[in-house]
Amino acid sequence: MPKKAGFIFCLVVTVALMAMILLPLVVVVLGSCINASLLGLSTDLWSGSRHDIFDFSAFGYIFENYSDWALFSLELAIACVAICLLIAVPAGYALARHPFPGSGLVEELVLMPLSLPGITLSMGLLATYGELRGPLLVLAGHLLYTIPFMLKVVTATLRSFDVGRLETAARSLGASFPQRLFLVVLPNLRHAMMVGSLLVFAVSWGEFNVSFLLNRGRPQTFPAVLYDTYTNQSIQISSAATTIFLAIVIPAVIAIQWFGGRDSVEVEQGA
Amino acid sequence: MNILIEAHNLRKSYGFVTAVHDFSHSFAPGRITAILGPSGSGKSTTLAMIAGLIDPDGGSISLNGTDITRLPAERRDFGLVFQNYSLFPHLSVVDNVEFGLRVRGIDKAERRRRAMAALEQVHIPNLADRRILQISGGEQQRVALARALAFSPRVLLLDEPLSALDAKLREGLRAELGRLLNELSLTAIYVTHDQVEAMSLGHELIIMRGGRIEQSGTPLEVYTRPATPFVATFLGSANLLDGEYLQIDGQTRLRLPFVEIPAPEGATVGPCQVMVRPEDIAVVSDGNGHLSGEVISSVFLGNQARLTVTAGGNTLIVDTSNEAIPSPGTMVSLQFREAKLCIMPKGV
Repeated sequence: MPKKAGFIFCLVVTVALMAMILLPLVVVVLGSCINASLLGLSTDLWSGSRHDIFDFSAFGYIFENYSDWALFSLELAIACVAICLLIAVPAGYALARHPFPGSGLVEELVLMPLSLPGITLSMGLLATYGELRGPLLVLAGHLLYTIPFMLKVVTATLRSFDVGRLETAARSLGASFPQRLFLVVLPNLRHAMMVGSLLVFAVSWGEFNVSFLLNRGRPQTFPAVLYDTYTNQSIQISSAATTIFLAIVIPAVIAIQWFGGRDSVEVEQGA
Repeated sequence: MNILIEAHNLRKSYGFVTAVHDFSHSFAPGRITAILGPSGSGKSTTLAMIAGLIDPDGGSISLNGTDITRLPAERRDFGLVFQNYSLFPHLSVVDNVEFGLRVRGIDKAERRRRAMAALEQVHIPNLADRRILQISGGEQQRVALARALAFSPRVLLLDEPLSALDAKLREGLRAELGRLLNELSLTAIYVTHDQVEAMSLGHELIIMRGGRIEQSGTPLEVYTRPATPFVATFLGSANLLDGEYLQIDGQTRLRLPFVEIPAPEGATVGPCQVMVRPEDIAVVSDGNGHLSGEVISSVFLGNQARLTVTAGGNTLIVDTSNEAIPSPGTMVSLQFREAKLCIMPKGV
């Protein structure tokens, strides 16, 4: 009996916690599509019947006015993923496979931007590369925040299955360096690269501070749409912007969980 | 396939520690040479230098007379089997076995045929399509062996291939490995710290200690005529006794704590050490032995019993049949098989 009571207690706590986290999201999503006049709120968009429950016109407004912002954000996120794959994967391989005196410090230093407030990082970048202010500098800022994620995932994975051992085996079987890279190292890193790419994408898509401070004029990144609409527009429009934001980031987060789980299972069994 | 590998004065140091000192040996072509030694004796480093995975600091390695010291591992065509298997987790069993053929550009059908033949040799063709993570440790080691054999290596190098397996499995796989290697008559070098493995698989034995070769020879030679007390005690159990060569009436004789016998040819006067194996001491009826002693302990081992006996100031280990096991405290008469006494210089 006490066991059952314990279970019920845990269930209640879990449900309460989930509700606390999820309810605001539900409110936002509902707020974006429920007829505001039914809730007694004013709106400048609505052209339908006052008695319809759903009203999607806020989404139309966002697409009309901010689609170039969304596109800029997507381009940035994709560029970050591509550049991280090109830079952080080889760097992670080098650090994990051929450590040198001080390589631990290098790894720590790469992680440092994560602990800095966006404003500090932005001021630093502006002071140093002020003349580049604009999309290029925004990209640089995003890379400082995203490279650590890719690097960490790659080095942790390489260390977990001792890639050196597999490379030695491949050498003994006659594989040249490119063959070892493409037939052994990269195939064993595919999950890590997938998880890393999704993380990088999600971080870049959601980054606000650095993007806001380093950009010049329009378009801004998509999180700036949230800022813009929450400060200047009705709750329905800002809710619609938030819903679009979540529609992109939540699938990425779910995919990270899914791939991450699969990855750890394989590594565990492979050890 | 009689491939001759020769190592000349191979040397390797790590900082101030010399792992291997001047290792020189001609490995018997088409036969299995077991390198045996405790951990830290330099046996795995020696194998890694032969494989090309570690660059020697000095010395050379030749293959049928051609110097291959600086040839990278991937161009030596040596098959390697590792203690930890090192199979590729992202590939299936058959894809692992095909790997060596794939990197040599052999076409798909041919490499599948040869990989399956290699899997037949190790009796697991039924596992071809399994994932590496779905098979047992013993099966993984068979896959590793098939992978090393599939591309028809010139030499097979094995680094403690069975030591990660449990005792029962190890014994079965050892016998099978011996059969397979003899069938293929590959030149093989087998590194192990297990003397039973080394003696049962090796046609030739190299005993290493502290980075040096302590002794080499056939297992029987090394077992019965160990060159040093270390070899004597490392390879099975041994009783070591102090002896002395004496000049008596123009004859050289060997004096032991319990007996004096004519010395072998070429002995020089002075102290020496004598090794006698527990199985070369017999418990005989009272008064017929070389000496008598008191049984300190007796341990029943199933097929035989092992006694510890103190006699003449020495503690001796004696193996006896399980028929009449003397209990501790009883006095026994012991006889040595004189021909089996092994004499070695003192202080080695």
